[in-house]
Amino acid sequence: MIRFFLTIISLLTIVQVYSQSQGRLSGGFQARANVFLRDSLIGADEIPQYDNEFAGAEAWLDLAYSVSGFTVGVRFDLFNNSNLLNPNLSYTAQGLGRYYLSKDVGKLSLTAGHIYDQIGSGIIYRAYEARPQLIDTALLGVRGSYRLNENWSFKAFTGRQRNLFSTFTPTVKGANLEGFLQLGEEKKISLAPGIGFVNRTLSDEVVGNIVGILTGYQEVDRFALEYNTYAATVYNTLNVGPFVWYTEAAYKSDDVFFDALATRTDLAGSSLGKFVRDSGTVFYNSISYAKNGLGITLEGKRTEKFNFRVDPTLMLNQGLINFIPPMNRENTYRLTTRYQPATQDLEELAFQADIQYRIKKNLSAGINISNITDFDNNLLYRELYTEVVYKYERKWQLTSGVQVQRYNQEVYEAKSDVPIVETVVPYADFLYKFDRKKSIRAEVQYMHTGEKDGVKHDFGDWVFAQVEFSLAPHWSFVVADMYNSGPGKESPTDENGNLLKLHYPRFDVFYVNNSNRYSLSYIKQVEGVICTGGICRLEPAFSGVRFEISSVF
Amino acid sequence: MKNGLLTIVIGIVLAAMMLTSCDEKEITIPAFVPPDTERVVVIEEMTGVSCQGCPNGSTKLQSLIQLFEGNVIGIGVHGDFLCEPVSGHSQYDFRFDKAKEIENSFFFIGKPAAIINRQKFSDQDFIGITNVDAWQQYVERELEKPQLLTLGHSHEYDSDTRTVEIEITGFPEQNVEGTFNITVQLLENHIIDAQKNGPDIQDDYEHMHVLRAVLTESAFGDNFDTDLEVGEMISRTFTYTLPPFDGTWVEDNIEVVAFVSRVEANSEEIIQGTQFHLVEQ
Repeated sequence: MIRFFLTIISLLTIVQVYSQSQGRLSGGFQARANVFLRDSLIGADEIPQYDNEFAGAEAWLDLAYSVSGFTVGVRFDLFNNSNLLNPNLSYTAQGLGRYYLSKDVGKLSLTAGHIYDQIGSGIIYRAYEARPQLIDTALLGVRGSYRLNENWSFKAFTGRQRNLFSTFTPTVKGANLEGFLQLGEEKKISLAPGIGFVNRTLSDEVVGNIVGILTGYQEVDRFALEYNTYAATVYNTLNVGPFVWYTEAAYKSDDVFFDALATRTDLAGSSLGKFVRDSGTVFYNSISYAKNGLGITLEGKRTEKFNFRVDPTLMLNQGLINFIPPMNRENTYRLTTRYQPATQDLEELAFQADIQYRIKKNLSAGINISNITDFDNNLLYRELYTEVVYKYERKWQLTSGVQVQRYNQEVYEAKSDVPIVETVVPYADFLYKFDRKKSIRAEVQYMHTGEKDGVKHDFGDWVFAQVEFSLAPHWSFVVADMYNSGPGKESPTDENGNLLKLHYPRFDVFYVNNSNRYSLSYIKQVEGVICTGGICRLEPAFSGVRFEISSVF
Repeated sequence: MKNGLLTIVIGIVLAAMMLTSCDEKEITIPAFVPPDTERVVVIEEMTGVSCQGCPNGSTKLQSLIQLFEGNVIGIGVHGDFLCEPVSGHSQYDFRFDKAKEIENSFFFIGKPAAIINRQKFSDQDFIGITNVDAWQQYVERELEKPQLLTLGHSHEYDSDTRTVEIEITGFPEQNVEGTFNITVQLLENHIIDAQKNGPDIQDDYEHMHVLRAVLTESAFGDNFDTDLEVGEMISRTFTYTLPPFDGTWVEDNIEVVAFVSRVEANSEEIIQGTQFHLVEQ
C-alpha cells in the first residue's frame, strides 16, 4: 500500500511538472509523550505503563497534496506504549493510519481510500475521528458524489470500516441526497432536505462468532439472524426568519445487539444481559430562535434500539457506524465536566432547552436545562446550568454561575451499588488584562455532592482553583489544584480505611510560535469520564509528566 | 433538472426497497452437540460476595458445568477484589491468602471474569474474560484440543478426624516435553450466605464451587513431572485435615479438584483436570 501511494505521489509530481500548475502541500502534526509516575494512592498503577514501561507516546502526521484537481493525503500514526486505545492496556503500533486520493471531474467528485463523512446529523452514518478516545471510524473504500446543480447533490459510498491499521470484515454501503431550496418572493424561507440510506453486510467470520454465542443460549433466547441490516433517514432544516427547525427521523431494520438489561435463561437459572435482534428508531428535533440579543434552542430526542455497529459483538466505542447527537450542554470547566452523560443508544428520551440573552452590551446571561430518562421515566441525567458574563471595558471580565446535576452513575459508568450522583457546582472565572500582552485568569469552582447513609456520593466534594498567566503572543503558565475537600465513597483510603483528602495538582507551560504549539505539564488527575460529542469513556487516574506538540502547516 | 432529481430520489428509494425486500435466507442456530472428548477444562471464575454482577457469572458457570457434563470443572475464586464480606449481612469470609495470590496473578478488568484453562486467548485483551457470553466459545475451543493426559484419583476420608488422603495419578496420552505442575484444591457447595446481586443484597444466596483450600504448597501447584511420556504413570499423594465445622466446611458439600498445568515462562496452561466428591453422594 505504501508503494502504491508513493507511485501516486510520483504521478502527481509528473502531472504538476507537465501541467505547470502550482501544487499545494498542507498538513498537521500532533504528538503527545507521557512519562508515567506510579501513584497507587490515587489509583494510577497496575497497568504496564506504571509497572514496567514508564513512558509512552502517540503521534499523527497529516499530509495532503493538491494539484490539477487531484488531492492525495496520507497520515502516519504512531502509538508507543500508549494507553489511548484501552486505558488499562499498553498498545504499540505504527504505520499509515489514513490514505486517500480524490479527484474532481466537473460535477463529479471521486474519492478512494480512507473516507470521513456523514449523513444528516450522523444518526444512521458517521465516519469520524476523535483522538482523545482513539475513535477512528473512517471507511476504507470509494465514494462518488455528484453535484446535480447548485442546490442538489448526491453521493454514494462503500467500503469497510477502519480497525486500527486494518479493517473490520463486514462491509458498509450507503447513499445520500441533499438539497437546498429557497421559497417566497423575498426568499426568506429556506429548506435543506435530505434522505439517506445505509446497508451493513456481516462477514462470515462475524456471523460465525454470533452463531457461536447463540449456540450457547437456551432455545427460548435463540433467534435466527441475517447478514444484512438496513438503515434509512429523512431530515430537513427549515429556516423562517429568526427560526430554525431541524428534524430527523431514522429507522434501522432488524439487527443484533447486546441488551444488558434483557433476561437470559440458562440451564442453572436466569441472568441479565444477552444478544437480541430487533429494529430501532430515532426521532430528533431542534428548534431555535435568535433575534435582538435573545437566543432560544429547544431540542428533543427519542432513541430506541439504535445500536448500530459493523460487528454486533463489539462493545464500548468500537465499530460504531453511526453517531447519535448528545442532549446536554458541552461544558468546559474542570468540575462542571466531571459528570457527563454518554448517549444511550438502546433507550433514551432526552430534552434540552438553552436560553441566552444579552441584557446590555457588556452583560449577558444564559440558562441551560437538560433532562434524560429511559422509557420508564427512570432518571439518567438532569442538569441546570446558569451563566452570567460581565465585561468591564476591555480591562476585565467575570464569568460566573452555578450547575446542578443528577447523574445516573450505575448506567453511565456501569458501576453497581451507587446512588444517583447529586452535585451543585458554583463557579467563577475572572480575566484581568494588565496590558495588551499580559493577562491573568483565575478560575474557582466548588462541587458539593449529595450523601447516602452519611457517605458522600462517588468521590465526594471538590474544590478546584486555577491561575493562568499569559504573556502574549508566546507564553502562558498554568497552576491548578483539584482538592478532594469532602471525600466520598470512592475516594482513596489509608491503611485504616479512613477516607483521604487528597490534592490533584497540575502545572502547565504553553509556548506558541507561529502555528506551532508546545506544552509541558505535570499532572495528577483523578479517575473520570471523558466525552467527545456524547461518546464517553471512563478514564483511570493519571499521574505523570506530559509533553505535547501540535503544528499546522 | 427536476427530472434528474426525481430520478435520483426514486433511485434511492427503489434501491432501498429492493435491498430491504430481498428475501434473505435466515441463518438458523444449530443445536448444541456435546463434544466427544475426555479432556476436562478448568474454569476459574474470579468472583466476590460484594460484586453485584457476579451472580450472572456464577449462573453461567453452573450452566456450563451442566452443559458440558464431565468436561468442565468450575472454581469460584473469592480472592481479593470485591470479596470483602457484606457489612451487616455476611456470616463468612471466603478469602484466604492463596486465593488472593491466585486472583492477583491474573489480569482482568472487572468481575465476573473467567480464566479458562489459564489460557490467554489471542482474540482477548486479557487472560480474564469478562464477557460472560463468550465463555462457552473458549471452553469449546479448549475441548477441541487433543488430550495430553488422563488423570485418575483415589482417596480415603476419615470422618472422625476429618482427614483425607488423596492420590492423583497421571497417564500421559502423548509425549510432551516441558515441566508440569499439579494443583489440588478443595471447593465447597451449597453455602448459604449474603451476596450482592444487582442493586440488592441477597442474604440466602447459595454459593457454589467456592475455593476453600489449596492443598499443594504453592498456590500454583507443586512439581508433577518433567516431559510426559506415553506409558509412564505419575502419582502424587496429598493429605489434609478439614477445619472444624463453623456453619461451613460441611464434608458432604466438599469437592476435590486436581489439575495439571504446563509451566512455561509466561504461562501455566492447564492441560487436564479431575474432580470428585469428598464423601460419595
